[in-house]
Amino acid sequence: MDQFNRKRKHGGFINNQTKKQKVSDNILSQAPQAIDVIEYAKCRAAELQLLDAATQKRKVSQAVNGLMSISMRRRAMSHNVKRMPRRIREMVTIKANKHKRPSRKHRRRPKNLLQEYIRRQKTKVWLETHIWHAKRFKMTEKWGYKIPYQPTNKSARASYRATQHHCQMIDVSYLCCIEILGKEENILNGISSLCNCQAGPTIGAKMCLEGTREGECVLFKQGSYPVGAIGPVTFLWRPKSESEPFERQLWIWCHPSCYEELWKELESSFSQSENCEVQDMSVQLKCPIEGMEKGKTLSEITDSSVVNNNTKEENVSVDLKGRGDSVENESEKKKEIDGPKGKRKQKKGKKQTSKKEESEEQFVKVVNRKSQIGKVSISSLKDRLVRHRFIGPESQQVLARTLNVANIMFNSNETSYWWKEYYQEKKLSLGFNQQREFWDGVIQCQSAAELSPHVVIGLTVRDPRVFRAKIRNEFPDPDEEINESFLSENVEAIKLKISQDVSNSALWDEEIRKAVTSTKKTDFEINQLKSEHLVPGTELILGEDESRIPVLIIQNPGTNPSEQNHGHYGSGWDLIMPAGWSMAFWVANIYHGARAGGLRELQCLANEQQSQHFPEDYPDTSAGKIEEVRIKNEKEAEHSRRPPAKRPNFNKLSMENPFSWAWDKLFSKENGSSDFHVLRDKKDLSTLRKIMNVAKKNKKGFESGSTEEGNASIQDIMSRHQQSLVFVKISMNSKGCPEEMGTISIPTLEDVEKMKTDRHFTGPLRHQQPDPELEKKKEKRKAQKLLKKGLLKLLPPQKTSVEGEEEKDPDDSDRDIIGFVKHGGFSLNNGQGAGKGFCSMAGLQKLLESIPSERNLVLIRNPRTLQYRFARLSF
Amino acid sequence: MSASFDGTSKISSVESSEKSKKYKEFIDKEEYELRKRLPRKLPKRKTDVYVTRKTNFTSQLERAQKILDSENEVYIHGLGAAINQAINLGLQLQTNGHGSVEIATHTSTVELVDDLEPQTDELEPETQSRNNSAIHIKVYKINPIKVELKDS
Repeated sequence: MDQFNRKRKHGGFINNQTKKQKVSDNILSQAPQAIDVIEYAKCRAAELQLLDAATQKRKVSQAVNGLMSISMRRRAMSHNVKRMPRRIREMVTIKANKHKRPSRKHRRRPKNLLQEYIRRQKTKVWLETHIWHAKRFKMTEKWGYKIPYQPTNKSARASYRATQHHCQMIDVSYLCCIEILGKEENILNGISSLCNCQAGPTIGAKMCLEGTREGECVLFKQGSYPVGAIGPVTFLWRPKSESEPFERQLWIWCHPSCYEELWKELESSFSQSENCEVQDMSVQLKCPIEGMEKGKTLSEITDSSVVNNNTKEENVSVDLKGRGDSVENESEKKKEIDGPKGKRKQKKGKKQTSKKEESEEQFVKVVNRKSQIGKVSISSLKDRLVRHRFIGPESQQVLARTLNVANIMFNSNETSYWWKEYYQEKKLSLGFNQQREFWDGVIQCQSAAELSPHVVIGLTVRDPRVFRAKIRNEFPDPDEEINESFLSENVEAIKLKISQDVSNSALWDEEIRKAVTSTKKTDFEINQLKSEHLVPGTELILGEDESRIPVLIIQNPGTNPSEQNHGHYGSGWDLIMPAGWSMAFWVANIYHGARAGGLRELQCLANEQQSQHFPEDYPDTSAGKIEEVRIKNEKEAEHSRRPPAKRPNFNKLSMENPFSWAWDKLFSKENGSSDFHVLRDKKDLSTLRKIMNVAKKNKKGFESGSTEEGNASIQDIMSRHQQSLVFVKISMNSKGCPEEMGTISIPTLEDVEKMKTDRHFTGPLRHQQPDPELEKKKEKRKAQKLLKKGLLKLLPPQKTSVEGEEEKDPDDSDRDIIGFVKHGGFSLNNGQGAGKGFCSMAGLQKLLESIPSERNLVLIRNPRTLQYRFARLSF
Repeated sequence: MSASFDGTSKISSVESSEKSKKYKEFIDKEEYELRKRLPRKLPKRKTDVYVTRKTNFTSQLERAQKILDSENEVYIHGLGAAINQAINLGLQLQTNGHGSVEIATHTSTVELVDDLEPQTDELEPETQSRNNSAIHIKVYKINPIKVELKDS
């Protein structure tokens, strides 16, 4: 506006006489006697131009709307341009024709499709089973991956049934594996600062060192226990080899959200223990983006860059171009290739490749992440291994049907196959026989929970694509009746302690993994062979040409049976195999009766088990905090989308943090720092369990810890873990379900007494609080109404005194909040509301002091309600 | 209905009782965590009902009755503390049959395995095996003509 005013001042009134005439009263006399049109227009040129530009720039729809009266509109005008008035038509047609999507036929051509797939994968990584999942699942982008979230055709309840009675399969290949090579003591030295034995068995635990058992633990930042948790990991040692008993290999599986953090922490801790600088051996691939746009596949670019770098490289056996393979397979292949090739290049090229072309527009990709620290080397096996999780009692049968032990005995001396070379060693081939026997025994079991927990079995299996699943019918085959004698023999084999030979696998060997991936027959080739096969449906006989795939199978024991649950829920297997084979096994397992699940199913499983799931249930880790912020934003956005009348008024409900977990508020502010941690000390947790669990039936007059004793030990824990949260399992007493962000608070004595006397009393009710903003609005509206009537002065404001009285409600202030519900809902396993949450240690102490007879009784209030409900905590 | 222990298990039970005492101490000291394995199950037929204490009795009865009506026989298995419930279920089925249903009972011993999971780094994982008695009740209809009628 100022701009325009200024212009007017200077050029608008050109007559010099105006100033003098201002004095006179007559307005008409002020008007200029003549207007110079050109000058006049010049001054307004800028304005006019702006106006013109604005009218031209209008969007199509706006143009049509604005330019045409409603009465001129015709049906289906957007479909047929000729229904538009001619003067508008031109504008519309130009816009519409500009971005015409190519036809579906064009888009689905293998080359174009592949290009499209590559484009879509630029910012994130696809799992190998992505295309399969994308057709059937809701996908989410998380942690740099595109992860299947939930099946579109199955509810959570159906998935629960699958885990309880059948077999659910979840692709967890996004879990990242970090390989550590070196002497055992060196590895243990470096890693010991990351874990603490107080939080349970560490990576150096004796039971896991043999490699027959997978271990799990929580890793912390260097020497910072109990604060600074990174996240939970599972780890696996390679069984000792006889030739080099001290050289060990360790795989650490972590979640992608804490992968970077863990990698850095590993590097720094090893560099400290080894007194050595970190040597970055990873290979970065730089290739121009233009190449991508021209439709080159990533692997082709990799090829060319390898050649450019003048590394002596044998010709790549897999040629992408010549194959008429299905597109899905090719996109898979692309991933497979860049891994192994990077490795090879790195081996021979040794140091970093020359960076001749230093243009900015480059597509940088770290192909093979590796660092050497003294005698220890850390390398990333991210996206090099595939991991499928099987949950449920039937997973045994499903795996038994897909994993057919391969035949490794062939007489010819040709050693072109990896397995011939590998099994030439007598010990390994004997081990293979042991594995086969053990697996035969395992198959006989009805559930994975019948075996020893976390047991690791190595196997070499046949290509799952060469044989076909039987058509499943209701009536079992008479052939499948299992004879008792066979059964009892194998039972004994399982009971014995598992030997290292059974757990060993060729999968540990990098060269073999590469060979297995690169010699995989493509789906196209297999299908071609199948179509030439004489009797359709029977298995292909490929003899030595058939791929042999080394896999590792790891047992999950599921929940431990206790008073609350039946136990063994969620037991199953994890199947680990080399990259590139995911799709083959996935489809075979689906055919054999597994039911696919996604990330939601994993979360649901953890909720039913009432166990912690990373990263949601680790509020003290950075990944957990990020997750909490994400949930907060999501909830807030959802809330603000609704009109005020259609959403809960949290002021009235007096919920301070309805969208986030305010852990900081649980701690007194005297200490200053808001750094809290989760109590993971095993001993402290078990003493807490002993104190807090009220024994229902006091056997032999045993009182579960007297109050004074309990107080003393809680004081002891408090002194060590002042600002700590404790993970609690919540089960409702009668009605209701806990919800996310609900509060856990201490009941008053009256509440407990009322509960004991009145059977139908489910919990006290909180009084509704006045919303100050709403009150203000009301007053304003009232004032406006009165103003209209001209009565404003008659009514002076007189609200304040009434409000003060309302706030003094004895019912409200005295229920201290000691924690929050992290997740809750109706538990199908327990048949009632259940959840999990965190309580502060100080809060638990207060809870113990307030009502000693009912130690684990708390009140839960959900964010959208005023109703408190009774619940019990267990630890 | 006495449990049939064979000789070998008797001898081993003496040893194992000592051993289990030792393990109990360990568990009390919180060096080990006890994790019970699932008892071995035989492949399930249509007519098998495994009884648990935690399942609702009426629904178990209904299920068994349904199988009895359609298949003319049902095998009820109960282990350990669930034996009472299994017997109860069998007798209920018999009374409901008003004389047309018979019972044949068989007892056995089941070997159970517990895993002791170490809570510290230095300990090896251990297993502990113990015996528990089980009952297998065959509930069947005595009128064979009815079977044929149903089939045809």
